[in-house]
Amino acid sequence: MLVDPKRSFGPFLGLDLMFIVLALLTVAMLFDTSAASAESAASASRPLFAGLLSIAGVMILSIAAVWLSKIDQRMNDEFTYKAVALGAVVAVTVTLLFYLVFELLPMVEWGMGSLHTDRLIAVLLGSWAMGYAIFRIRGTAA
Amino acid sequence: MKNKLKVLRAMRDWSQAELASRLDVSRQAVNAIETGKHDPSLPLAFRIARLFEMPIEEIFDDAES
Repeated sequence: MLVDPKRSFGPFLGLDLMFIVLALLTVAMLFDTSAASAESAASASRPLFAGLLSIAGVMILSIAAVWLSKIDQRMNDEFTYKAVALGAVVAVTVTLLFYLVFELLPMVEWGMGSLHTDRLIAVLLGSWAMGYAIFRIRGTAA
Repeated sequence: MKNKLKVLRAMRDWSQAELASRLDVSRQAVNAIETGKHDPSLPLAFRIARLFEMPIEEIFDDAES
């Protein structure tokens, strides 16, 4: 029997479970990536082409994301969806702050290692799970 | 934001699921609005007002009015 996902949100959502798994995965990732050394960054052999392609990628993906935000407008009244969306805002903010802290402070000298891509992804996913959990418990009302 | 949704729903003897169905949202969304954990969008607030045949400001109280 098909279940309408809009109406099937029980007290313990599948989404909750997903974010709990994500949080656990993030903890493992943060330990693992903290122990790993930073990957060596390969420079582009054709910088101009790589730059133009990156700009095009950002533009196309941004337009696609804006188009996909129609879903956001339709689901705006769903409490759980709003918790996911607000959690994503928390994730972006925390990741940027994390990046800034590692850029501005001598974290490597303090034994914290460098902030390479995998570690940054772990921070992003972890803060998303944390943000979702907080909004889920506290509510999304201003 | 405070609201009278729970009282209005009880007066009509509707369950949260029934109200959710009439408003085309999930039961959890109705529960979150009733407990003040979630503020409805303006379109949903209008749908609620139309359903209970009351002005929005009589259902919702933003504590500033």
